[in-house]
Amino acid sequence: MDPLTAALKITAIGMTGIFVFMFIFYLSIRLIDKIFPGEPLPNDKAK
Amino acid sequence: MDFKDLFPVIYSITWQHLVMICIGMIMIYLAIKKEYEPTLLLPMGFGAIMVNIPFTSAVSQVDPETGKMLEGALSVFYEAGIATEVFPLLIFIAIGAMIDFSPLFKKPFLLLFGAAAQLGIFFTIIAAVLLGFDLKEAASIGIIGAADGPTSIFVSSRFAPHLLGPISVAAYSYMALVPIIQPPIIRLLTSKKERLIRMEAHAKTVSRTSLILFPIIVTVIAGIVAPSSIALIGFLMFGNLIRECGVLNKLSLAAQNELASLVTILLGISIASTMVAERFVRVDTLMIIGLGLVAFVFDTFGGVMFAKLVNVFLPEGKKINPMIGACGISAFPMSARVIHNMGQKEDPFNFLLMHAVSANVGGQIGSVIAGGLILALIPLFT
Repeated sequence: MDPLTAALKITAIGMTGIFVFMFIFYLSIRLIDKIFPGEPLPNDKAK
Repeated sequence: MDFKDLFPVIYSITWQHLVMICIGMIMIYLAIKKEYEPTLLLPMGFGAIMVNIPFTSAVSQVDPETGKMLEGALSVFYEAGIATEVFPLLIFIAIGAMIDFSPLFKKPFLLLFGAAAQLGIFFTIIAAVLLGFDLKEAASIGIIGAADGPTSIFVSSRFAPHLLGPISVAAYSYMALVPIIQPPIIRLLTSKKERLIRMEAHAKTVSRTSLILFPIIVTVIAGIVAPSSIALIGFLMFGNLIRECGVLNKLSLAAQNELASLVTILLGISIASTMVAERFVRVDTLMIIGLGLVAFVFDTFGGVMFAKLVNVFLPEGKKINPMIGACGISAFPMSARVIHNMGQKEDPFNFLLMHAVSANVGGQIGSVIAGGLILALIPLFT
C-alpha cells in the first residue's frame, strides 16, 4: 500500500477510534456517577 | 607535539557543531528568560552543548586509536531509559498522580473535545507523508500534535528514534507557545457573538468511589480495544489511582514531586544525546519544526470546529462556547488558562475556566489514546 493511502486510512480509523473511545469513557463516567453519585454542593441543595 | 595535538577539538569543530551549541544556548535562554518549559528545555539545551563538542565523552563513540567503543554517560541513559521506554512511562505515573479527573465528572460531554482536538496529529501525518517522510517517521512527527511531551517521546522512540531530538524540541516548544499559537486561530474561526457565549456551571462533588473506578475502567477498556496502548494509558491511570485511592498519599506526593523531577532531568538530558550535529542540522529538522506547528494549528481547528458543529444541534441557552473546543489539546493547564483569559477579555463576567479545565483534562486522555492508537495502527500498515 502506498504511504499516502495508508496515512489516509490511519487518519480515518484513528479519528473514529478516538471518538469511540471517548464516547465509551463518557458513558462510563455517566454510569459510574449514577451508581456512586457525589454530594450536591450546599448552594444546589438550597435550590 | 604541536598545537593541533594539544587542542584537537579546536581543529575538529565544524559549523554544524557550532550551530548545535548555539541551539543549546537558545534553548537555555528560552528556558530561563522566557520560562518556556524550563524543566525540559534547560537539560536538553545543556545536553545539546555537551554532545556537540568533538570527542565528547558524554556520548558513546569509537576510539580512533584502539577501535574500541567508549561508553558515554548520556548514551547509557538513553539506552536504559528512552530506548526501553522506561523514562516516559515513569513520567506518565507522575502526570497521572497530578491529574484531577473530577472536572470531567461535572461535564462529561466535554470529554469529546479531547477527541476532536487530536485532528492535528492525523493531518500532520498526511502532510509529513506528502513531504516524503516514511509512515513511521510521519506518525512520530504527527504525534507532536498530542501536545503531550511524554507521548511524543514514547511514540517516536518506538518508530523513529533518529528523529527524537527535533520531535521533542518541537513538542515542548509549541506546548510552551500555546498562548501565542491558539488565540489568533480561535479568533479567526469564531465570531464575537460565539466568543461571548456563557455556559452554565455544574456545582457538585464527585464521589471517591467514582474517582477510584475511573482509572481502572479506562485501563481495562483501552486494553481490550487496543492492547498495545496499555503501557501508555495504564501507567497514566496507575499514577492517578495512587492519587485517588486515598491510602497512598506519600506515594502520590512522591510521584508528583520527586519522581517527576528526577525523571524529567534524566529524560531531558538523555534526549540531548540524540541532538548531535550530524543528525540534527538537516533540512528534515526544519520540516519537523514546521510540521509541529501545523499539528498544533489543526488541533485547535479541530476542537473549535467540533464545538461549532455541536452547537448546530443544541438549543439556545445550552450552546457551548466554541473556544472551549480548543482546550481539547493536552497542553494542561496552559490551554484552559488561555481560553479562560480570552473569554474574560470578551466579557469580564464570563467564567469559562471550569469548562475549559474539563475539556483540557479530556485532551490529556485523548492525546494518550491517540498515541496508543498510533502504536496499534502503524504496524498494520508497514
